[in-house]
Amino acid sequence: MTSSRRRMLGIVIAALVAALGAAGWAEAQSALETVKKRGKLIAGVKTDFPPFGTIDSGGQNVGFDVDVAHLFARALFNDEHQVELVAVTSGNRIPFLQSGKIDIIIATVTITDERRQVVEFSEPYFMSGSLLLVPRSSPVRGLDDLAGKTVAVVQGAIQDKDVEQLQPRANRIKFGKVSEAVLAVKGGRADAYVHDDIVILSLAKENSDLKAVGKPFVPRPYGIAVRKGDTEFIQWVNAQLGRMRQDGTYDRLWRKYFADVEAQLVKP
Amino acid sequence: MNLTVVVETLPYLLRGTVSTVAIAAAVVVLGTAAGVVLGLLRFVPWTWLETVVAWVVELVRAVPLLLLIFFIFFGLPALNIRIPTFPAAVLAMSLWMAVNTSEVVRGGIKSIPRGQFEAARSTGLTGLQTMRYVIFPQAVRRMIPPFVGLCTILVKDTSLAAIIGVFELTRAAQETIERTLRSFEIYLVTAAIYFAICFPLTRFAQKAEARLHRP
Amino acid sequence: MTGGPTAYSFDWSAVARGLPYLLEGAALTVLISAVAMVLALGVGLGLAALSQVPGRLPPRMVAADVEVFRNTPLLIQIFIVYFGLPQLGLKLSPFLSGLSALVLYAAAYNAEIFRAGLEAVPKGQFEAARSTGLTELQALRYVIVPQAVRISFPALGNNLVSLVKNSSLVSTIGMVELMFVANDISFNNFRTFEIYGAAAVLYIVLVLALTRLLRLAEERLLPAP
Repeated sequence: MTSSRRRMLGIVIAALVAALGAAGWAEAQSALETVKKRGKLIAGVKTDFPPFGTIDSGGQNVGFDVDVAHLFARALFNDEHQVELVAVTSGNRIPFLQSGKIDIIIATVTITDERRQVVEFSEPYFMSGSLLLVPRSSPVRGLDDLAGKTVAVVQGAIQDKDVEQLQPRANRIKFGKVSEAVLAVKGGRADAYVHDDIVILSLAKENSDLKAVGKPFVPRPYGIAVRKGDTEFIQWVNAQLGRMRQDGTYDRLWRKYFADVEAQLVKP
Repeated sequence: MNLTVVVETLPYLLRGTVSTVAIAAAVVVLGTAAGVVLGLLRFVPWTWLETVVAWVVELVRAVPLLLLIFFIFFGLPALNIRIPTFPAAVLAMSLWMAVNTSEVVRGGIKSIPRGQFEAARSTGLTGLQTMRYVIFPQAVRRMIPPFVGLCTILVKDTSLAAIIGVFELTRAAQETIERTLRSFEIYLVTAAIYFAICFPLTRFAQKAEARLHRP
Repeated sequence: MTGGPTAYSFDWSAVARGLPYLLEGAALTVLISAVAMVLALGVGLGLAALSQVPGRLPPRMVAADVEVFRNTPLLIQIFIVYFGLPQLGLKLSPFLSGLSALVLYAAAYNAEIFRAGLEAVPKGQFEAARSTGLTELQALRYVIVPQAVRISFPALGNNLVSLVKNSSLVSTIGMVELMFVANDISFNNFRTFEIYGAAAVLYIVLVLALTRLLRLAEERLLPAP
């Protein structure tokens, strides 16, 4: 490298750093206004998380959260189709929100203090503990049996930290998606998969070679999330959730999606 | 092996394929245009500009495409540049395509003997005219095989868009697997579809290469 | 474009906090890349040699292997090895799954590069070497292969650099290398710009170091004739 090249590199780096320092901004407008102006809501939903968000054989998004997104679109525009559903995972949903790819996360986000620092949460709309998914023949009955075992978790999901704290002797292996963690258990790569009770129960029901075990631990609420500081939008969301509970919509959705596993769920 | 699953999911995979081809086409157009400009900038008389372009190209090429996608996707908004999902994926891949195309262009032009430059200039052509009428047309022939090779890599690498949830062939496969959990069959068929697109491109590049070496 | 307040303000201390973990990831990136490079060179050379064997079958098998691995995405190959093969009873660890996919993919390119290198050495040289009394193997070992390696070196170097970058894809099967660590940190602290930026810098350092090393190797080991 010649010295002039070196100097040039210095200048390029200095310019980049200056650009970074200069960036920093604040937007006063609520995302709710932007959504209304645009005429369409852009919502992040899951595609691998039964019964909250999956894709059916025709390529359509279905699930509890998906229905909520459509209800929001109907409330906003009187047309439930004015919503664009963007596929997110436990890992990337908050970056999707922060980076402006979506207006709102309706994707089984567990409310935690850490996440409160970076997003605005609605009132809780579901309660979930955690369960284990294991092969049908597995002797594992709970977290205590997982010492020295390989445990699959989904990257960005709270169980990553839960297992680290509650069963530090387990060897965690992290996947990007629910289906990959399930395949890991099916393929014998992991002894158990730990996630929200509702998804574990649904998966156990769909896969006869797997079973759900354990007693739901650390029950916590799900919330809908919007960007930090957007109180106008989150108040609107809360009002919608309140209305859904009052007019029976929430109960109807509950029966539609949770009726068959209801007995094992933590009641909100 | 479960062939019923394959037959049943093929239409959905083909929908993904259409999207893959559309993404690749958009990236080829955008990335090539930008790449040719970047490549030609390596031959401008201003050294400082050449050096800046050289460094940008070298730095961007050193970053894995997957990381480039994540950075543009989740990092750029920190600079208040916010782009929706699909264009963001196309932009990231176009940037990758542009820096790699610029290297193909540079290599092609450099392969033309220097004497031709001087000969053309001595007939009274300007530098720009020399590039436009003498050097570039010859260089293009030599750029074709590596450029088509690059396009093949691009088609394969559009699969990375699936990781951030963009709908294309790999994503369609993943969605199907989420439903059926038959990963072996579905990924095998997916690979076959990619092969059907890429193999003709590879063959074309090989033929073009062979033609170059024939007198 | 979506609107609304954004909460992004830079916090570069996140990089300092994440650095030990990022470096751990970079170490695994170096390890898996280095092992894969050596194996991919060996397998590539073997395939290229096989493609020169007289008879129809071996060259055709090599050609088929090369075309299959070159014309399908590495990501899908990784997924087939890791998620697909257990369905057939073959279960490799994440490291071995990622490694074998990386090796097979890079080896296909290497084989093609070596083959082109071997074929670029004029045929007459082999006969000339034989006529000086060298055995076939000696002629290959001392005359043909060194020249082929010199011809192939730049393309091989590029392919090895690609391998380092491609190793980022094994993050998708839970290998805790640099790309995985970058995701793991930023999916928890949400400092995407800083963490992905730091990971990019680490990749740049690795790639530029390798490029430099390859250039040195070319100058030292393969002086121009």
